[in-house]
Amino acid sequence: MPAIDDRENGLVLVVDDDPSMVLLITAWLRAEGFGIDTAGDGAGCIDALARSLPDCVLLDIRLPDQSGVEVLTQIRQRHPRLPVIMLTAEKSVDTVVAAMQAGAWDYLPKPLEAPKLQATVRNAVRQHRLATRVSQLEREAGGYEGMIAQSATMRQLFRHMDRVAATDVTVLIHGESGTGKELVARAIHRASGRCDGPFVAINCAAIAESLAASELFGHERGAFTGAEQRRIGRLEQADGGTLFLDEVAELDMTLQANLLRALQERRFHRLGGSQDVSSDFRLVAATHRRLEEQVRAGRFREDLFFRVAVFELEVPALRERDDDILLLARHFLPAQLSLAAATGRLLRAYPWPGNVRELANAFEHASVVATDGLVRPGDLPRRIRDHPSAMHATVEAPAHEPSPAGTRIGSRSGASPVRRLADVERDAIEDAMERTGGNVSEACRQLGIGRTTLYRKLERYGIARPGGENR
Amino acid sequence: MTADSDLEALVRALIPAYLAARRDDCQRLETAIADRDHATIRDLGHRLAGSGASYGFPAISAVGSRLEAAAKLRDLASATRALRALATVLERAESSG
Repeated sequence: MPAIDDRENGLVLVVDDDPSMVLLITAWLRAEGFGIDTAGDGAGCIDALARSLPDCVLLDIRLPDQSGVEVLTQIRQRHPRLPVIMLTAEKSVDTVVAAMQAGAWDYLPKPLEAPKLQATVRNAVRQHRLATRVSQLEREAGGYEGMIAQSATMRQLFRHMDRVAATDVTVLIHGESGTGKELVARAIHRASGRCDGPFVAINCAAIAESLAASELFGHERGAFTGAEQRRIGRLEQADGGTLFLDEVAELDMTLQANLLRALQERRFHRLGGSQDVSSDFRLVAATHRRLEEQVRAGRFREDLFFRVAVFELEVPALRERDDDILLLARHFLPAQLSLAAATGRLLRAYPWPGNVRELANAFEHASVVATDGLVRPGDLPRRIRDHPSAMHATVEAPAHEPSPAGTRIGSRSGASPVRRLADVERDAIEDAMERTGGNVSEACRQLGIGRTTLYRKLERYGIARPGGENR
Repeated sequence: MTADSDLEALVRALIPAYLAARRDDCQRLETAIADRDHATIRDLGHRLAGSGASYGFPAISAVGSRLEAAAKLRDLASATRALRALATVLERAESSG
């Protein structure tokens, strides 16, 4: 039965092989406003969890293909926080004890009673939602699993990552080089139920074609000249965890066919081997190319594309993350250095074709070159400071900018685009802080605002004070 | 949320289908007893024990427990008696509904 999704009140997965019990429980819980998904056995339960993560699972202890306790153990490995309520008609105390030891949230004896079942599910759903919200807030407060961002585009990406991390579906990450696709893949792994398993990354563009098959699938001793001992491939290493295939579009057609088979059957052979090897991994792939175009050009198998692109994420380019550029710059900046206001303007104007990686490298360069505790435009690599955008950004002063209303105040060029008021304000504050050497009182006087306002705006725009002292 | 009376009405609507499915169970039990298939007798007994009282028929749960116990002891005579008791319980439930 497909899920009747009612996320507002919570989704409950009911796992029981008795259709009469499933119908009854569904009626009782729908009357309470819960959405319902169902499964008739252990394998169906695991499939359902990969499809959509519920707020609570009702799991019969006796299932046709495996015991409920075995299924519970698998759920615990992947979804440690998900509350599972065991249903049992067994009289044996041992079974209940085993279920509780395996991590059951609670258990209900059959025959069931509607009020007791409804109350237990309500509590479990409430507790799960609370725990999920707390961890979500913790993540938002510090970026996401170590990723630094506050722009709207990145916050949207974090929300999607959070949703997909809770499932086991395959993810395809798009993004230009240097945007942090591997960071996204690692963050999904850390936020997923597979976080205790390995994260195995391989860059498909960086391995020699002749070695790629052995790298992915491993080989047996004597499989080819030089294969002196058995080698475990990346697919096998990722058992229980996440396999990250970076630049997946670069795989050659033969390997694509082998990978497709391995993904479909969840088993494969090592090179030179005849024994089936199985590996339980979650696949996350990434590419800087548009994979659909590769499919149309006949360079990527369509069937593999559909297998890989189940859930797609787009990591925005740095130039689309205006609010993050200075935040990241300060992250990469050594503690003893500050940014000159003109450098801040340049960083925001430069298009960053190499994205976050280029920004990180630029600050590595600047930290060597800067001499007096302040990173000036001239301390950045030549390609950045000589870029056409640099001229405009470093020469322009806020007083010469056109006003947001379009009336120009001392404008030198009537063709300049209108700037956002917030940008003008931020530049003015940066300039004042730089000119006064971080003297808050003097900066307030020059700007004509109070200390509280200045502190609030410094915080809002993420502007650091040279020396970091209140004077 | 839903009032008790609404919930009762909801469950009442499911009862005819539930009883019809138990009639099918009687057929399957008859075959299982004839085939000395103790595993099927035990499974069906287990399900009846769990579902009967949940639907408001404790007598069905009681028969289910008897079937389960008979299957564990491989006691076909007890299983046959329990089957007859199930048929009687179903007749009463259907006539009262």
